[in-house]
Amino acid sequence: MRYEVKKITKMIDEVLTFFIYNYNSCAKVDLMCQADGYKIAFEFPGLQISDEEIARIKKLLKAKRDPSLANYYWQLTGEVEDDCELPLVAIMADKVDIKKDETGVQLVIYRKKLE
Amino acid sequence: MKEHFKYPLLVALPLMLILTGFSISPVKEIPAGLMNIIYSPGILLTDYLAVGGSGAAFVNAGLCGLAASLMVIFLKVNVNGPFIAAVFTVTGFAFFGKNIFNIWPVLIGVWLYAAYMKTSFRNYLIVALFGTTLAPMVSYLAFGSGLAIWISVPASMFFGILSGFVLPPLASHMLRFHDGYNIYNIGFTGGIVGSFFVAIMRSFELKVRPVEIISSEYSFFLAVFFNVFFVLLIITGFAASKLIPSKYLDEDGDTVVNPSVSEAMKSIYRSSGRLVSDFVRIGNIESALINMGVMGIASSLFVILLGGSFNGPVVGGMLTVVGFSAYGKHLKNSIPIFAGVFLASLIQVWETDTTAVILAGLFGTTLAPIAGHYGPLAGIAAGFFHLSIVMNVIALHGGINLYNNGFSGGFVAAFLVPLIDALRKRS
Repeated sequence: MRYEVKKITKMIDEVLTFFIYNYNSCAKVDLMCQADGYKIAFEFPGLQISDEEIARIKKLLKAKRDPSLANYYWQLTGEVEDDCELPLVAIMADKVDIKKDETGVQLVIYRKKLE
Repeated sequence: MKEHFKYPLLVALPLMLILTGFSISPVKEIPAGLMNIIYSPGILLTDYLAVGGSGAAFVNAGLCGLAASLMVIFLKVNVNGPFIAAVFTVTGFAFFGKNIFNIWPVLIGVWLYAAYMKTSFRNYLIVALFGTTLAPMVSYLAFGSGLAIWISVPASMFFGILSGFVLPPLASHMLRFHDGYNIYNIGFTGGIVGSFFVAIMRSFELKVRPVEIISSEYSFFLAVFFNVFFVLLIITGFAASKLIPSKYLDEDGDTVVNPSVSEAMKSIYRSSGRLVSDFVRIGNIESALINMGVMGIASSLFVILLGGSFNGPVVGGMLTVVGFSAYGKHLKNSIPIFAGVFLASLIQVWETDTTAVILAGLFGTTLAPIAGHYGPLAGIAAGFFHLSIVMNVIALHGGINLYNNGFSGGFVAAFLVPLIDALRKRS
C-alpha cells in the first residue's frame, strides 16, 4: 500500500489531537505491526467522559473502510488542531473498539493490509 | 439504507434533463446542436445554451450526468455526499464547458493512473469525476487551437489523458495547501495543472484566452424548471423520512438509529463544512436532500436579488451548490459568502448583476467552511476577497480550468485561515 506508514501515523495524530484538544487528556499509544495489518491501541488514563460523549465518538468513528474516499482525502487527517476529522480515521479503518471504565478510556483501531 | 436504494437519486436529474431536452426542441435539431457543443472550445465562459440551443444543452448535461452516475453505480461506490456532489458538478458544468466528447480523455488519464498504481479505478473515481474540470483543454486543443486536425485531435487526447494522469497525486497533496477550507480542492489542483499546461502552450504561440458567450433568452424557463426540481428534492427528502424506519440494520448487521429530520438538520448545521463533511453520514440521506433543495432555492434567490439572469453557467453554479449541499454547504455557512461577494461588488469595479459576479457568489461558497468554522464575519471577508482574486486568477489558465472559483478559493483560504487562526489564538 502506498504511503501506508504515513497513513498510520496520521491516524494516530488525529486521534491524539482530538482527545488532547477536547479533553486535555494524557495518552498512551501502542502500535502493533501484525501479519495482516496494524493494531493501534490508545489508552487515555483517568479520562472520565459521559456515555453520550462516548456514543458521539463511536458514531464519528464507526469504521467503514472506503478507499474511494480515503485514497484522496487521507492527507487531511491530523492537520487541524480545533476541528475533528475522526470520520476520516473511520474510513481508513477496518474496525474500531472504544470503551470506558473507571481507569479511563480505551480505543483500539485495526487496519488491515489490502494489497 | 442499502446503497441501491440511493441510485435513483443519482440518475433522476440526468434523465429529467434528457427528457426535457427532447421535449423543448425538435428532435432533428438536437444532433446538430450537440455537434456545435462538441466543436466549441468550451473555455470559460461558453454557455452551451447559446452554442447548441436549449434542447441540445439539456441533452448534453443529461448524458454527462448519466455517464457519471453510471460509473458510480457500476463501480459499486457508496452513494455518499462526495459522490452526490461529483455527479451534480459534472451535470452542472455540462451546461458550460463539459461535453460528451471532452470529458473522456481526463477520465481515461485517471484510469491509467489507477492501473499504473495497480489499484482499482473505483479508488480514484472521485478525482476522475471532479477532474473533468480540465475538459476544455481537450476541446480547445482539438477545435480551437488552429492546428491541423491530424495534429490537434491526437494532441488533445494526449494532453487530456496526461492531465488526468497527474491529477490524483496532486489533488491529494494540494489539500494541505488550504487544510480543507476550500471545498473545490480539485478546482485548485486543476488551476495549477491548467496554468502549467497553458504556460507551455503559450510558449508555442498558442493563444488561450477566456471568452464570454452567454445566452439570455432562456432565463425564465431555466428559473422555473430548476426551482421546481429543488422543491422536488425537498419533497423527496420529507417523503423518504416517512419511509425509512427510525431503526434498521446496516450492511454489517449493526443496528443504525436513524435520526429524525430535525435532529439530522441540526447536526448538518453544526458542521463547519470543512472537508470531509459528508452530510449523508453526519445527518442522513433525507436531511441531505432537504438541505440540497433549500440551498438550490437560496441560490436562485441570490441570482434574483442581484438582478442577474439565468443561463448555462448560472445553472451550472446552482447545481454545483446543490450537489455540495450534501457535502459541506448549508445556509449558515454559505450566506456570509454570498454577502461578502455582494458587498465587494458594490464597491469594486464589477457590475453586481453580471454573470461573472453572480458566479463568484455561487461558486464562492467553496469557502463556506471558513464561515462555518470561524464565524460569519470571517465568511464575509472570505467572500469579499474571493471576488477580487477570482477575477484575476483566470488569466493564469486562460479559462481551461472550469472550476476557476475553486482555484481562487485555494488562495483565499490559504491566505486567510492561518491569519485568522493566529489572531484567534493569541491567549
